[in-house]
Amino acid sequence: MNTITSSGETITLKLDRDVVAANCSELREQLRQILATGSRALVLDFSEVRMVDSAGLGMLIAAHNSFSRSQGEISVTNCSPEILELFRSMRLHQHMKIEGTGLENE
Amino acid sequence: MKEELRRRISACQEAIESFCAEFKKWLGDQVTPRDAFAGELLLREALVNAVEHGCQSNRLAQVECVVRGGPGRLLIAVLDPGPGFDWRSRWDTDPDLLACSGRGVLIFRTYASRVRFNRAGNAVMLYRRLEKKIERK
Repeated sequence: MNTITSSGETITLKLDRDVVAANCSELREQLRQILATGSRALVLDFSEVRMVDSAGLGMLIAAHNSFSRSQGEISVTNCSPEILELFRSMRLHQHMKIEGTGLENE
Repeated sequence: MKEELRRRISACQEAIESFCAEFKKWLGDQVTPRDAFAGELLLREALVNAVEHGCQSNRLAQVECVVRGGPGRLLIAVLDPGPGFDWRSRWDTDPDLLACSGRGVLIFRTYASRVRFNRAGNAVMLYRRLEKKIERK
């Protein structure tokens, strides 16, 4: 089960499963509910995410678009080196803040 | 990993997840994390295309998948019973940066060393050259 914590105006959603087609509808609904709270800053913690597919990328972009329309922003943190490379090659880093675990070069 | 993993799966997300789990087990720890990620991603994209577009998510339809390993290479082949995908018109087109779909072919181009579709477009073969795995002592 994904874990939600909030600090000031920032909500952090720690995902406990991969961001792939099979899990997208549930996650999309959770993001919709967070947006409806009026939150303007969402941090997605990917420390337990091992895979993101094109459906997951599309869902993240859709969430980014929705938050942008409300003057909010999404960032993704604790990405594995492989997910970081995927996000960069798909140029997601041009639109949202993407961070690794800090262990990428080890 | 054994030489080949071949399955016929139902056209549904659960079957994709089950086959991907089997694929990860088949790969084991014999490839680098980067190759393991790329292989699974390529497999997922091919399977999702086959299930959603080739079979219109009709659970009664079946998708045939084969993964084969050899020295320094991985082959993934997926065949669906659909009319085929017009890959020629999509091949060189990058999706809009903020588009919510249409990244499957870009992922094939990025992560596979070679991509081949059959003439109809309902079968795809994805080859990936594998990195040499260096064991840490």
